[in-house]
Amino acid sequence: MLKVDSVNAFYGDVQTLFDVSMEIRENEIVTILGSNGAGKTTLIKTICNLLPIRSGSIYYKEERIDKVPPYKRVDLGMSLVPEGRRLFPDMSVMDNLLLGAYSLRDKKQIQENLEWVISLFPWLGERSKQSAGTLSGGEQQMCAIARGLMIRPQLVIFDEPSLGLAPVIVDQIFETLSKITRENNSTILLIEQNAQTALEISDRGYVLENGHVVLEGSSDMLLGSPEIQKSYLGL
Amino acid sequence: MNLSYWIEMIMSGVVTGTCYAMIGAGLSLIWGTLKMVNLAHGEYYMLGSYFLWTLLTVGNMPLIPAIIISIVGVVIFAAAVHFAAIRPLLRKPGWNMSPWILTLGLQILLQNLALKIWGELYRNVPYFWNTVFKPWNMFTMSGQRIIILTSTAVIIIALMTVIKKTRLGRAIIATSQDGEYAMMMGINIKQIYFITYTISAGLAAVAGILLCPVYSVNPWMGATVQTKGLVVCILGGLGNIEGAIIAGILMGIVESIAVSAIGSEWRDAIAYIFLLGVLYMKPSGLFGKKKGV
Repeated sequence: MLKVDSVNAFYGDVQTLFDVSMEIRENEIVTILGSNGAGKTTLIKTICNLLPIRSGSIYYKEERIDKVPPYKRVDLGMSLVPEGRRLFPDMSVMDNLLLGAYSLRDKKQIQENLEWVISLFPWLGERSKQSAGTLSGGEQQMCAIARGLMIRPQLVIFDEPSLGLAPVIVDQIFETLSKITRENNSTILLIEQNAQTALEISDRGYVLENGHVVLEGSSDMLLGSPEIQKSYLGL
Repeated sequence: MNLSYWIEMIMSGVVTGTCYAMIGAGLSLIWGTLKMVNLAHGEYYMLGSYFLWTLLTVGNMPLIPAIIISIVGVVIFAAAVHFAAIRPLLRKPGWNMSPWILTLGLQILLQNLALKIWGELYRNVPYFWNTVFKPWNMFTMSGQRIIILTSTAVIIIALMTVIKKTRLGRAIIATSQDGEYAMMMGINIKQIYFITYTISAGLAAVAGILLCPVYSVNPWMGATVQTKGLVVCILGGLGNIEGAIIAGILMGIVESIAVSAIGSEWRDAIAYIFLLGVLYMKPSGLFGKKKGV
């Protein structure tokens, strides 16, 4: 569904991605692991074309998208739940959700999708008028996920959804992620530092280090790998 | 100096204030989305007045079509400026500095162009509605000022409704809060930049058209309005459109009262004294939010 083919990317003169290749197949949950500065967020930015790539290519459903402007991603059924939540803080929860459906014109469909995301997070309905900046960290994350789901995306990219959240909420969020794949047949690309939880719900994983893919394989294989156990699981 | 005198002063302050509000709201819109200061904003105000004067006196056109053509003319001109000068610089290195130089240059260019085309003679536009009202026998108010009040009220309410209630408004706010992720919501932010820039120019043109019968039309009329607009924009909290509108009206009232209390030669100084006073007590402006660095 999404194919990244030997991508090189730079911030100014500093190279941050070196010949990165990966593939996410339909209905899969794929995790990208990596420590801070490994290039995870850079990779997301290149996939979204927020950071143009220097060389290589990116395909979505066989179509080359690395030159397609960022705002056209949602029309393709691709959605991003950004790192650090990044809701629009001065807007209400409802306005944030409606912005998630900005690319949809059909009012009925927007309403249906709205009901669906509220069924995933019922409290969103009760507090739709609250300004998003005043939500707690976990609530902001859930609101951001809901916003990202408003187009009923085929591919959702989650950038560190567990960052800075309490373990209970992390479990709840990961449970929702696997529910989304089941209920909506979505494909998920998950960026995480929380290796254990992420790999448990994923099918496959890639490990990024200093901008290189150093390891890839099925989740079981990665969970069993001594390198992963040492660097990410603290075993 | 009795009560009716002061009511009259306040009303006249409100009238000029609504026009400051439109200029300030425009600057605030541009600041919010494009993250730039438009130093040529007062020139759209000036062009609005000159277009109207030309159509009325040279073109002998009836009032309503002349007003509409003037507004459309300024908007088209601003659109051309946006495509020719602003878009090529957008997000290029030096964007924190380039709009200042660009729009300052534009200001100088447009003022001198106006001087070349229309000359330095102060021009006058007749009142749109030449009557005087005396509501409840309390104070007098000219028809022109009533036209100004009602049309600015309608425009400001319409603007706020668009921004608060519509899909376009949500896109504008999202772009100003986080442009990068606004794009990921599917918003074409370049299009939003274009829309906000031309809407703002249109607001300035309307203010120029409404106020030109009260003041006179000259090539430098935009400069004072420009600085007042900036003051209003800062007072209201940068990028805060509602704040700019309230600050604009407030500023009009303060100015009007202060002028009648201490003399009209202080008119332009008062804006800055008011600004300094407010910033001394509230550094982020009247309605600005505190932001961590």
